[in-house]
Amino acid sequence: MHVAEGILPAEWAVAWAVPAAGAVAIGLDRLKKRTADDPSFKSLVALMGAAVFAISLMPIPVPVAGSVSHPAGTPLAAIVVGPWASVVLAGLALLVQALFFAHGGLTTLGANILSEGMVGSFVGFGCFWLARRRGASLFRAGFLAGVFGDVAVYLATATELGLGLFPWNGSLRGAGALFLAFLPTQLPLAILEGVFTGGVLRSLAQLRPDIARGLRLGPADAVSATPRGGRIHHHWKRGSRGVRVAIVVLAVLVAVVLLGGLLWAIAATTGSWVGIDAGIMERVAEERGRAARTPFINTDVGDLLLFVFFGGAVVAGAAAGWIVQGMRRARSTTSRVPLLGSHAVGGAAGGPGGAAAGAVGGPKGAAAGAVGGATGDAAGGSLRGRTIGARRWVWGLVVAVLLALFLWGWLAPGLALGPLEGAHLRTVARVMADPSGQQVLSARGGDAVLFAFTIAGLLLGTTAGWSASRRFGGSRPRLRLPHLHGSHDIRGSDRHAWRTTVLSAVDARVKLAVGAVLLGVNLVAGRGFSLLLLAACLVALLAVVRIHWIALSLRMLPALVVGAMLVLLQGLTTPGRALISIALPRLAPVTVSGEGLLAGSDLAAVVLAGVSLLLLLGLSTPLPALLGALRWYRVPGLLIDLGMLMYRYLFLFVEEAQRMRQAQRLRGPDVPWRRAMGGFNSLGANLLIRSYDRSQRVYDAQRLRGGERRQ
Amino acid sequence: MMNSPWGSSRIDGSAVTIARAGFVYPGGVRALDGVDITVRSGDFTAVMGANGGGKSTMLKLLVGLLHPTEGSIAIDDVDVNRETFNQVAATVGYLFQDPNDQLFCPTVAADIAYGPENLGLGDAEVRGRVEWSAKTCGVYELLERPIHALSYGQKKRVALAGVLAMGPRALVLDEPSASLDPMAETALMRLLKGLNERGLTVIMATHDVDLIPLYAHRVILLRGGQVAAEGPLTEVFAEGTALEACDLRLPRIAYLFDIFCDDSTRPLTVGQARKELVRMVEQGRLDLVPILLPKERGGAA
Repeated sequence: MHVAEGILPAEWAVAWAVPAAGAVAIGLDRLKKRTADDPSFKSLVALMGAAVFAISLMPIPVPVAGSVSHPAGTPLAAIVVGPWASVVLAGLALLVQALFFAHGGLTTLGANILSEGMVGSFVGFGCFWLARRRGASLFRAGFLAGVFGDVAVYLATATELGLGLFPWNGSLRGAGALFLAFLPTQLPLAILEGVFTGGVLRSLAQLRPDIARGLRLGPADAVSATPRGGRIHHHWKRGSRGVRVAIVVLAVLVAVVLLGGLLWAIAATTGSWVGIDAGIMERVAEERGRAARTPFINTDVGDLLLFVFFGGAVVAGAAAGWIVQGMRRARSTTSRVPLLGSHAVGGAAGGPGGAAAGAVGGPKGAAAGAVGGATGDAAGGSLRGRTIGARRWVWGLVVAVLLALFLWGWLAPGLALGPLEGAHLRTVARVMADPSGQQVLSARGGDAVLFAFTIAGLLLGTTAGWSASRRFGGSRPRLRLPHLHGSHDIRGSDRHAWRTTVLSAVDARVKLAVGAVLLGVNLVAGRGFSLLLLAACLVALLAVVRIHWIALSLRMLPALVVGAMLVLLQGLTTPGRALISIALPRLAPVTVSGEGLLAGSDLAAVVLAGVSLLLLLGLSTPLPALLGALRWYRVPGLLIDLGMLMYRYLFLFVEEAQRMRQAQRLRGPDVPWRRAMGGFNSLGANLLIRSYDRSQRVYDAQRLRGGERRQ
Repeated sequence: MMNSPWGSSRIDGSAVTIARAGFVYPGGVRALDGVDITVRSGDFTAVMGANGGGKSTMLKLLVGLLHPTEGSIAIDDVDVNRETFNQVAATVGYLFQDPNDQLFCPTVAADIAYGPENLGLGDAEVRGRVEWSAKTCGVYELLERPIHALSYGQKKRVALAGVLAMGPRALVLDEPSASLDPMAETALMRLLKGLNERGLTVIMATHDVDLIPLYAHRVILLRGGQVAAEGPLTEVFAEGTALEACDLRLPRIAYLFDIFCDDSTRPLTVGQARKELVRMVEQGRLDLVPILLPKERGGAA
């Protein structure tokens, strides 16, 4: 859930950077004090951070998306090394991600540290701490931490985007809409994060209770060893009845808080929404002396709307059919293991999907969905989704998620508008209950007819896509690009960074300073500068860094999706001359303004230019050189030392995780999701254990070469 | 400018004294029990024994990573304890079994320079030591490479370079040849032998009974945390029983000689075996034809 480079205006970038810097400074101070007491703590934090980062790069299956995603890892890191250290680690991880993957950014680093680092760490840690104090098992406490940590991150990100993208008086409503748009796709991911966090902690305590005690995962007397069947099984003491009641109360409280947030979001989006609702838009436009005129495309005329919905459904269905058939084929023709760099971000399925569903549903849903897609990890690697095709349930779940998104698109406007004037579901239900009702006979295509046309289009499209894929898709999966560097391929990025080029000869301090200035100017200079910067960076990436154009496209894909969504969002929410107007039954028409499209394209140019500049910086300069440059710029040495250690061991842990994953797959290539998830949790726990043990040896190695003199 | 960390071609090696040392891990496992050993300056000593015999624990006690629960350890008359840790670390270099534990800096140059920088040396001196160590260990061309891009053998050499750059007077190595290919193993051992010939004290733990006779002067056999045998290599290896008691065996070339002849001659290396064979043939004590060409001889008969 990164806010992409260039999305936030300069003033908000600064506004978020200041408290973020403060949070990191506090985290470093705490870390320094803890290291003074226990000098080995620094290497422990760095190696555990690297392990969590490595785990977060591993793809895990997402049942509802039919794809794979990545755990954020922030709640786990907060539990393992403490929330303040986790803020520091999150800051480093976000910096590395910005430079290696162009995920997030430098001007949005502050916002991302606050939402992911601060909010994710403290909410996750708080939930875990509370639950453990009340006697919850490690799994349950970890689950709560993962779920609520993630949801809190979405809430914080939505707030940051709402404040940055919407006018001041509409920012809270905007944030609410964004949060609503995040929920349908990100909630399953949050649950996944919960299962992952709880599962890793449980496995860790089972495998090495001494480490669980060392990491203060619970009261020291909570671990007991009971011989059973010749083996030692460790289990955490179960809570008493009172403890269980307390857990229920806690869950209810959290649910109330969440529900309150949801209601707040809904309340924020009800009523008048300046610039979106056509009536209000027209009124505002008229007040400003620019009355709307007849749009170029008006779906209010004739049955055009029916065909728009029908056509859209056919296209969506065809794509789904083609992809699912391809996944089935991949299952039968390859047993490739989905490894690092071969993944799909769950947000990809969710983001654009949510946007599409929102667009079908209505203007507010469209706006919310658009940014939902734009700010999620977006389509980073959705092309690789086929690798997880060996799952029997993919079929049902893909259809389910499509339906869920579709229904959400219908439901969201109703929720957003408050009075269920335009709630299609309700109308459909009423019409279905009374088939002779007037709606069915509506000449314009009443809700039921529209619904039927859309479903028919979906079925038709799916069948066509399925058949076409079988006929023309070939015997091998179409989307087979494992040798290219995906958007999360950290080793590919690193290899590029170490190559000798004209740019690599330039001092990293100079590159960092020039890059920072250019990113700042990019935020304020306007479209011309951004386009020029974008062109220059792309040329440099292709001609000097010599990155393959497909690899570059993959890396730019998230930014392209963000840019497209920003254009759509601005087109829908900015008042001005209507270019396209789509009339929706019982809803105000969706109007796309020319001014909005222009404003959106300006913003998209800023994002694309910023991301390409980050890519250029990251792919032409090794991370140690950049960290060395930061040290020269007086960034605290402890932060740099942690970054260096993380960089050193990240690759080792990635390799170890990959080997363990391969070993697991070789001994069970096609296991059900639950077992696969269990294997993933065990892998995560093993990696944490190895890094815990290694951290002591690394500390010993440092001491033996005079490291204590450096502390 | 390349600077040898010792300043001259001769190294003043350290002497190590272990007096009735014992060690019990916090879990209650006794790893060493009453170990009494003296390693003289300039010795090349192999510490051998089965897995769990106490080799690694003993090496960690030598450099102060662990502290004996009984007895004492001294390096050049300096008692190894918490207070003298830095002093001992500057004198004794320790090579971990897994180089990934030892190489914690992002690049080769940064890792080799880590120790000299901590000794408070000037930039020129640090640079000189890095160059010398890198060239001595054959990793000079890798200096600007990231550690994670190296092969296992390269990492081993870089780890040794980092230790040598500290200018130690004794080297303690935990299975330095493990997981290396034969050429890398030979190169590493020759390097150690060369340093030892200049005076550096070398103490290495290993299982490799075929390798040790080529390089070591003395052997310490550990069994269950106690010294099973200790002394010059030829004495300890003279009888296979001591080795077998420690779950080890004689070098393969010694077994081959058991087939050739009945007397007590038992060479430990291929070079010794060759000399012995020549001597036996010249003395008429050995007829190789029936051993090497049994069919032809039978056919002629």
